[in-house]
Amino acid sequence: MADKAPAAVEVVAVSKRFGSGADAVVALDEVSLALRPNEFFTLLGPSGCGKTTLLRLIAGFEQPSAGQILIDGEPVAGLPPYRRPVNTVFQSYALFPHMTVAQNVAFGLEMRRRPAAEIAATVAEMLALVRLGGLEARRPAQLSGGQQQRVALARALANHPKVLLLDEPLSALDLKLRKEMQAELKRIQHATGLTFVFVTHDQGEALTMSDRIAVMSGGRVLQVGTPEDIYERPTHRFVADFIGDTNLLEAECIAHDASGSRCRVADGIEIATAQSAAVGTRVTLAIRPERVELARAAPTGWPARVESVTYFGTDTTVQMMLGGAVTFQARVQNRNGAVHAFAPGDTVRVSAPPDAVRIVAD
Amino acid sequence: MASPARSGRMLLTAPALAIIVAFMLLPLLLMAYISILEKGPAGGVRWGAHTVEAYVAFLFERDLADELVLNTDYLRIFLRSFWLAGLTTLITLAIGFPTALGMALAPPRWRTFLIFLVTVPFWANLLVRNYAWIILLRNNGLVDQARHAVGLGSGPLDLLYTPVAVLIGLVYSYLPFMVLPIFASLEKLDWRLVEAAFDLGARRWQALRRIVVPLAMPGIVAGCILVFIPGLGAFITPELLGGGKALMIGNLIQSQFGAARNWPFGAALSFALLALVLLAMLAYLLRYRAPPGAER
Amino acid sequence: MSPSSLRFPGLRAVLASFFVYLYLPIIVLVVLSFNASPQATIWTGFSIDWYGRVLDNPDLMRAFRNSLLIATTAAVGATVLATLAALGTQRRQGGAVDAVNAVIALPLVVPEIVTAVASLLFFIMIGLRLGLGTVILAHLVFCIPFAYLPIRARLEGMDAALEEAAADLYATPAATFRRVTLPLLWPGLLSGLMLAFIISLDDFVITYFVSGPGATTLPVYIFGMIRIGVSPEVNAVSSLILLISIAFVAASWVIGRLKR
Repeated sequence: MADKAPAAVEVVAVSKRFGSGADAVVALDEVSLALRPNEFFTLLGPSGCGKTTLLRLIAGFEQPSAGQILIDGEPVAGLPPYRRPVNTVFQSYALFPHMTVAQNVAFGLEMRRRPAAEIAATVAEMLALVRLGGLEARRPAQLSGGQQQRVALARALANHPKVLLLDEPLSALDLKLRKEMQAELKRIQHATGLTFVFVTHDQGEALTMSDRIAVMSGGRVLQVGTPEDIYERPTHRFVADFIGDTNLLEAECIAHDASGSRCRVADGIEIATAQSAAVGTRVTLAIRPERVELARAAPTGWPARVESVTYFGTDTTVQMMLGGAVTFQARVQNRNGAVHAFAPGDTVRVSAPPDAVRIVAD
Repeated sequence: MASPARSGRMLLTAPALAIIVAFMLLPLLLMAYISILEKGPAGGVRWGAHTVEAYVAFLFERDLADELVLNTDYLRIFLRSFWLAGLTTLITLAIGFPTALGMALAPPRWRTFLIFLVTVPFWANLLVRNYAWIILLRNNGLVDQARHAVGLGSGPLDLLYTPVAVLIGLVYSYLPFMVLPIFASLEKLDWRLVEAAFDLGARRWQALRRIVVPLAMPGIVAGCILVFIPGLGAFITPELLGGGKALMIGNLIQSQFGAARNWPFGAALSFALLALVLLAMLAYLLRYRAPPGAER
Repeated sequence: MSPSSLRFPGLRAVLASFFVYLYLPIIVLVVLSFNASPQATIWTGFSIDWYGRVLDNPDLMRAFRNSLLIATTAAVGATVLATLAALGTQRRQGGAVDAVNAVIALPLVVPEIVTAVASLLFFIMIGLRLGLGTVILAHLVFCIPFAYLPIRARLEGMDAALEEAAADLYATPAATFRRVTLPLLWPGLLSGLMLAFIISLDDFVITYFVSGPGATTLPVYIFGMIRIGVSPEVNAVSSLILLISIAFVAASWVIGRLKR
């Protein structure tokens, strides 16, 4: 990284195996990442992809099998969790049930033997930050899910960590509350200027909240980038498929020039992409359905037959057959109400701008 | 989560294991060894003198000419123990299953209280619970008094100090052992399965027999084992309610360390009892214990 | 989740008669302990004289003191050992843990009479004089599983993230144990202690074999009284021991349900 400040967290070729010998499970496979100070960084992937393991390695609950982790430029190998300048918001919140809200928030400060006056002031400040003033004397069991979530947040933030780790913190909340807490988390991140490492399997949550996202699968990081990068320019088939809907087409590259390449999907169906690939290579193309243009009688475009039409409220999905063998879908916005021109059996012309056609690795 | 700190923690089990191994496992091994020693002339044993005499004594005794002759006294006690323990199991099952079903179908707020009511006698002193039946069963005791009061015969029933009295005592002592495991498996039962059976045209008793009983089978078998095993080794009940007329294995074992002073025979009897119990446990584990991870 | 559609006729009656059957003998015993008549089973009037007799019986009171001493020592010792063992196997699985659990369950599996015989032979062979010491040792052994089960259940029910959260908040392992694990374990510990205590207090068979002349416990003494015959004094002392058992079980039950 070119920045003068060290990375908030740097993960260097970290692997983690559970078990040993033939039974060993590789949870992380040579993962490298560098998190910038003050960014909202999301680890996104399906369950079992290694995202929680990576978070636990940073927190110190597990030790890597290989590679190293630096927090704020300092290697943390062998340091137990209680010696690391990071704090965690747990998926289950892990609030101490035998302590009040105030005692929970004060716990970390007490453990570091801060003066009582400072503890009291910080507890009040943090509870105000998460808007829980007045609930100091409650027990966790007397709080709603959203309130418990805020206590967990305040308890972690009270220690002024260099990095805040959040392990699927919103997964236990219902939809409405989750939306509310997403906004709340962003607000708190701006207010505190901390580096947040956020683990989730919810792509929508990742896209709306993150500065950058690392998409993980099978213990590896496939792509790191801004939400727009990840969505508009996926580099891997998995990334394109996991985030949003996508058309994946097998094709062969038949020509290429300065502006991009032409690829053949089937006889008579050739698609232009803005990316370049060597002539003769087999490639996978990813095209987002909403970037597909449909017309009943355009002079250009590939011929397709409409198979089914599904109404989704804001838009309508048209499922088609390209060249008689390749399924393909387009999403048409219902700008003019639910009135759309397509019905099963119709023949239509399909096209997509070259920058919407992405070559992805398998 | 096998960090080095956690693997060292296993050492914390050492003191408890050491105590149990030293004062339970070793004594059991010693007992097994003593069962193959010759008995000493004035009680005790003769070290180094090995013999299977104690096991032979289950079925045979030596007459004056030192010949082995069949003696079925001990065999009869063994058979009586099996018979009483088996009958106890059947009766507790007959009482325990409907009770457990009633508890499982009771409103949830009642259920915890009912469990509590079943557990209290389970922890109450066994000696005292058997003593209560002496008061009830003895001649002109409360059972006789109640019988006379409603005009069912006169004179004593002579129930106490009979195998029937022992049976009554055993059933009473071990009933909670039957109810609790059956209740535990009925409580976990998905009652929507029963509704599905009704939906498919089953009548109540058919649903009970075809759905509820098979699914409660692990609890039923566990209950049977939990009743049969201590029933087989019962000592207090036959001692108090059998009065020497309905001896069971437990009393026979005890007498070898009292009046009879035949330690090897007592040890052999104990070892045989232990072997029976362990076989029963093994059979249960093999049949009803799900392979690791299958349930979770 | 019991369905309202599933009703069996007469099940309530079965349930009611079951509990009558379970409690009637105990209630009769307690009622008769207040009987004025020296004839144990014929009611003549109310009296608490028999309780006075019990409390004035020096042998019986000595046996009761022995029982308390043995139960307290064995229960405290067993709870300490069981707590250590439960912490050692906390959130672990596999062959080693199965083996530990099997050994700890051993005293529950082996018939009491067999344990009694084996312990008696063992103590004689290693030359320990039968007395309070041998009784306490024997009780310690069979109290361990009774203390272990509720403590382990409590530990297993504890969210692993709580201890991680404490570590994450700068608590050393010792501080985590003191501030988080122990306070949350407390009800299980107390419940285990009480069960071990009551099991020890009630034990007859094993004690009968290994107690020797100087270490008569309350159940052994009562056994002797019962053998002599039914008497109002036995009714009174039996009622007292029932009361103690029930009080402890009730307390243990209430504590076990705390803060779940």
